Amino acid sequence: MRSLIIIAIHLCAALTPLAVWHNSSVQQERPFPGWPNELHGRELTPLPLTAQEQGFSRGFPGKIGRFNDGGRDVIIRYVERPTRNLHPSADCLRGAGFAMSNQPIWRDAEDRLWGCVLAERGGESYRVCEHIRDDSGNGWYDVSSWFWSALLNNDEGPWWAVTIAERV
Amino acid sequence: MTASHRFVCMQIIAFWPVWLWYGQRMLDRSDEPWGILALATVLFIVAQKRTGHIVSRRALIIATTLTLIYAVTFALLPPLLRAIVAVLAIAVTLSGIGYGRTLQAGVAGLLLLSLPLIASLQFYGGFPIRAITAFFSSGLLQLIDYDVQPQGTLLFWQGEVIAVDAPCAGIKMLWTALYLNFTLAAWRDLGLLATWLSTSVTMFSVFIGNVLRSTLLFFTESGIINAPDIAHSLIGIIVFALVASAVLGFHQCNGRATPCAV
Repeated sequence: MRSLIIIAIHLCAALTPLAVWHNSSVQQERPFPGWPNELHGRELTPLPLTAQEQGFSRGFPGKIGRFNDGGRDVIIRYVERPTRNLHPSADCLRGAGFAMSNQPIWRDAEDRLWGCVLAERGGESYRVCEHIRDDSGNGWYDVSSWFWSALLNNDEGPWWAVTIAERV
Repeated sequence: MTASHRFVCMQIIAFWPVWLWYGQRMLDRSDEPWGILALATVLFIVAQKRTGHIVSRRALIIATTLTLIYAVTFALLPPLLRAIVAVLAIAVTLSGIGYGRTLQAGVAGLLLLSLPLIASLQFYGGFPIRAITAFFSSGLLQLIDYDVQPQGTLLFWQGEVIAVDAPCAGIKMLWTALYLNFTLAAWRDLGLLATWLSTSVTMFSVFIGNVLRSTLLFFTESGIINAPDIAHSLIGIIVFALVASAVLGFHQCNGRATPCAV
């Protein structure tokens, strides 16, 4: 009898994932204000998303845009709520086969702090810097700081996560 | 094949979505692949132990209860938390097979470390750990007359900002130190209380190491000491060596018949 119960529970565990109906409750999306036209005074030209970026955008609470500012690749993620799905750029690049090493924090001309890494693959090297900001002028240089700040302050967003990749 | 081995096979089949997720996470390379090392270590150690033990009735009940929790909460929990429940159930069974115990905490710890945890630990733990590290580092620096003020993960000193950045959370140092601790605990078959004690010492050593590293890095990053680029990595390696020595030293003392302290 005991063996039967044990087998039944394990069978139930094995079959549950097949039966689970994922309740995909639709979140109320706020109106998207549109992508910025420029960054650091340089005009942004929209580019199509790569297959990997399209993969990341599935289930992402917001939108992802890819741009070129005349010399650098720029990824902008529009984030509607605090989420684990806002991955650090380093994780995405590591997934794309880049070797990562950390770089010093970069302070831009507008006094914003950017978290930076050096991404290397097959003789190509990129300095990749990331900054997250909201529309009130608050900024963060890494996703963990942003997540906790948004959660603890009960911020409603939206936020803009900007990643700049510059060939070095 | 013994009844215990059949039970493990049943668990492996029951938790198939966990292995699918695990494989995907390993293949997408978005996290450090260190979990494979922990998995290989725990399998090696359990294989080295006597495998003639029969999983006790108590262990069977606990493992099956964990399987039931896994099934009931499947739709509610994210994949990582589901995987934690699944590997704990397997840890109970492996502890029974390898050690004749209900739970060998070193085995459970190594199985938890085998999961792709590092990216999630960086995400959720990164900021709180760095903020605490910055707070204690600034305290240490103030003790030696540097007027350093912490603000979140930043240190302010004479108009300069020095960031305690993502690597300074010490998540990799924590993972490696815990790996060392759980490997020793599983190899030496430490009991639950002894493993809890050694794990606490390990975590405390990592915390102290992290504060020490951030404090030392303040001098190189602020330019007070003109050090070459390699100094950053070198300080990290030296501090980790100290932490690892503390963990090894604790295990060594803990294994003696008489205490180390005089």
